[in-house]
Order: sequence, then structure tokens, then C-alpha cells
Amino acid sequence: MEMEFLHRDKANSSHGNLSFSNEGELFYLLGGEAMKKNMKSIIISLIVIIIAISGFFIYKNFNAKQKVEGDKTIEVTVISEKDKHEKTYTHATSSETLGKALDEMKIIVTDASQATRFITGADGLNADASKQEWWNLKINGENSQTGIDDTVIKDGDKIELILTIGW
Amino acid sequence: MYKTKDLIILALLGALMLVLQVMMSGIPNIEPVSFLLIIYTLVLGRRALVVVVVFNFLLGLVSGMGTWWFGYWVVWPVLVLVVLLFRKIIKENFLGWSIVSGVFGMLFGALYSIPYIFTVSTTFAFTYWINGIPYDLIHMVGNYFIMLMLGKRVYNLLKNLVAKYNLGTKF
Repeated sequence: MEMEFLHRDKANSSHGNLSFSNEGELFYLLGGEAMKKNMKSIIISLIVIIIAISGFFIYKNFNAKQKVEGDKTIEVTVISEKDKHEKTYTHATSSETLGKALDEMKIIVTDASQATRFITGADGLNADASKQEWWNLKINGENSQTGIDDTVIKDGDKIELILTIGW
Repeated sequence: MYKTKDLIILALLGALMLVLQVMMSGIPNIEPVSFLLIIYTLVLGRRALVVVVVFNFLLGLVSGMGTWWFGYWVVWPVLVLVVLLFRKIIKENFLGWSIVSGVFGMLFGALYSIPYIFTVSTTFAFTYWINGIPYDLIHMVGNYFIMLMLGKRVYNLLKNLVAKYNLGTKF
């Protein structure tokens, strides 16, 4: 009976190797061996999804642990050699990321059109991208590896925003 | 030696991969390249490396070459080599290839950041990888399901087409 079905379908199938029934998959889904195979792919698919979701939560958690809660005081210096500008601010905040702290201080202008927000202006000075100007972010004297919203701050951090020309 | 016909077909397969990649580039890390490259390698063997060269150069022309470009010279050849290594074991079991594709997606960020050790710095390579882990997880899920759903069909299609156009024997 099953074979008859298969034959009839094979005769009807117009596009050979693309159709389901060419290999009889559709009918065999109900059969023993293929059922087992099907179950196997469903189980592995579930495992893949579980790994992804749990991996994501572990990652989030791991990142959250690095955050420092509570009040902290940071020092922000805006430097532009071109404009002979150097100004230091101290700011007390309970924010966890540098982005939020800088927003509170209202000294920066940012561009959020890209995947990560970046600084375009500070203290009223603007970086002109057409002249290859950009704001270099230094944390405790080292170039930051993360954007302002991914940078976690702790008490006593010294932040420098330096208008830099050329990339 | 490659016959002219072989080279044209290999170049077209590379171009096809690029067009699909650009088409799907709006969705983060759901990409057809890993999938197609595994299928190409299963059907064409070592010749898939020619496709990788074509694809990488085209990608460089489309996006502009920079330090980002070197990563692709690591990831795609590694994928081809892995498939060549495993094809005797996994054969035509596409659940197996789905797992290979998924694992590759998960390790993509790590492999891709290797050239940054030399072009930028170790810290940069490391932070690049760590920051990208959530995207690697999306990549894993995407790669796995694309292969699971399309693998067998596209493989059979390409195998028949290659036989039809009488591509030169493997070497």
C-alpha cells in the first residue's frame, strides 16, 4: 500500500530532486526508522536552542557581575589641543555605565544612528568626521576597548575625552 | 589544470554566494555563506577554495578592504578544511552537517578575531570576540536551522547540476 502511494507520487512530481516526496520523506515520517530520525532532529534542535538561550543568559549575568552598584565619583577631562581646551569635571553618580554618567553631566553630544552610540561633540566642541576628527576615549590612561554604553565605571575612574585627528 | 568552463562555474558560484550574503546582510548573523560553502565543499571538494578566493575578493570590493578583511581569509578556508576532513565520516547525513554548521557559527567570532592579534592587538582581538558572543549564539542557531531545512535539497540540486554541466574530475 505504501509503495503504491510512493509510485503514484513519483509519477506526479514535476520537479524531481526538489520535491519532498521524491525520497518519500513525507510518507516515511510516519514510519518507524524515519520517525526515529525525525525525533532525533527535533531533540537536537531543542538542544541547540537551549544552548543559545542559556549561553545568552550566562553571558548577560557574567557582564552584570562586573558592574559596580552604588555611588561613585568619576573625573572627566575634555581635551582638545587644537582649541587649546582642557577642562576637568568631577561627577558623583549611581549610574553603572559611562554613557549614562556622561548623559547626566550633559557635556556630550552623541550619534546613535549606528549599532553603538558614539561621541560627536563634547564641551561644545565638535569632531568633524570630514577632517578625520574623532573623540578618543581613555580610561585611567588607557584607550578604551568599548563604547561609552558598554564601559562600566567604578569609583575614582579618570576618564579623558581627547579630540584626535587622523585614523 | 582547471578547464575554462570549471573556472566560470566556480566564479559564478562565488558571485551567487556574495549576492545572497549582501541580500541577507540586513539580518544580523543569519547568513547563507556557511551553508553554501559546506554544500559547495561536499559537491566540489577542494575546488571550493577557489570559490572562497572569489568570494573574499568580491566582498573586499563591495565593502572596501580594511583590517576586517583578513578575518575572512581565516574563517572560510577553515570551514572548507573542516568539511573536507569530516565528509568521509558524516557523508550525506545533513543532521550531522547542521551540527557542524552550528558549531562553526558559534566559533566564528573566535576564528574571525585571530588576525586582529597581528593587525591591531591581542586585547582588541579578545574584546572583539567577547563582545560578539551573543551574536555568535545567533549565528549558531541560524546556521543550524538553515542547514537542517535546506541542506539535503540544495545538495542534491547542486550535485545534479554539476553532473549535468560535466565539471572536470576532482583533483
